[in-house]
Amino acid sequence: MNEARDSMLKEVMALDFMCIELNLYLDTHPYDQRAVMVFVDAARRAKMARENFERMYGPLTASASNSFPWPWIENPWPWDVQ
Amino acid sequence: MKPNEIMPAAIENKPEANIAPSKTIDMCKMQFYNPMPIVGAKLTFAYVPFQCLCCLYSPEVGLGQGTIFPELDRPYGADPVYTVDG
Amino acid sequence: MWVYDKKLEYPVKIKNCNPRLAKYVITQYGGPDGELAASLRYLSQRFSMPLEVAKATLNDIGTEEMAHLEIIGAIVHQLTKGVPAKVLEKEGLGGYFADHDRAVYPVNASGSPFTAAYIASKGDPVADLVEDLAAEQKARATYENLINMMDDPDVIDPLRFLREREVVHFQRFGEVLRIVQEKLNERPYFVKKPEFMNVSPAAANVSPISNVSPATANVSPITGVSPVSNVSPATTGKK
Repeated sequence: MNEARDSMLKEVMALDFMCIELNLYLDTHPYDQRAVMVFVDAARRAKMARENFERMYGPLTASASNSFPWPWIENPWPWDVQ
Repeated sequence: MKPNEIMPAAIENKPEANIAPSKTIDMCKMQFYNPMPIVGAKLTFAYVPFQCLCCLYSPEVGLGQGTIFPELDRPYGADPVYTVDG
Repeated sequence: MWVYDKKLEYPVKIKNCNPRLAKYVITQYGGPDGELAASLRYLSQRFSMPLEVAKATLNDIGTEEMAHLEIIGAIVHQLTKGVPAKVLEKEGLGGYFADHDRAVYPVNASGSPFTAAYIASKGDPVADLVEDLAAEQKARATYENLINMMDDPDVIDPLRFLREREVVHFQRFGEVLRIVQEKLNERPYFVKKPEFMNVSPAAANVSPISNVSPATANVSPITGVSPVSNVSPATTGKK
């Protein structure tokens, strides 16, 4: 169960990391059209992976919380030993 | 692969995107115009060449390496002369 | 403003507690070349940057450094969690333990607490950017020193990731420096007095809340005056 959560979270991490890297690249190359297209695609995939994760394991941002009781406080937090 | 051919940027979507980082590095070293040459450098200024986007690692490989750009991938320990301890 | 994402940028799963390593890794939390210094430095310098490229880069890299701060904090926390006090004292963390127990507190490897003297926010864009370049190299060198001292692959893995991030940040700051330098050295080819400089201030004011269409809302006195503002900074670098 923990491994499934970890591997799904790692997928979200990898896609979000790609968005961060492309974000930094585009900050200094704002007119690179190909890079913008790659970013839009990566952001779309990251959003899908994030929604899949949140549907199974709870919110990753506070504004994505949508159940009772308040799910944001739930363990594990990212720095916890698992 | 001819020197002037551009490597596709969408390498991460292809099934062969799960190839080892070393192979993608070799594939990307085959293009010759990264970085862009520095033209018109003046005295008393510092210059870092611009990066030119060619190909990308897949997201999982990129997270493992620390960057999705092969040309910026400079791992510690790859060059034994540089990995100096004392 | 900032939104928190409930995940680390890179996974940290340390199976064996090892306070000796924590004693050294904490320097990247609160030390002179650590992530706290880096993020405060970049997030403070971005206010006085002249170009939007510079503001965006400093903003985004500063935000990423805060994420790195969290990774280092997680490493230190996982290395010392559940370790008995006697073991901590034996490994050299006795002084830290007396004041902070097993908490994470921003100090450097010798125990000196964090101070803003580690950072500089000079206001001069070139000075700030060159300082950021130096900071990234110092951080990279510190990570290499730490990797040399570690023997646990669970700890080396995130440190290796963070080291590579510093290399990439150096490249980004170098590109921003190129763009800023070129912009600051450009001579305007013409000086044009815009029409609305002759208009009374009341008529020239565009209220941000009013119902103007996005096209006309871009007319503001600031962008109209400088003749070189239409030259995109990034394209000059891509020649």
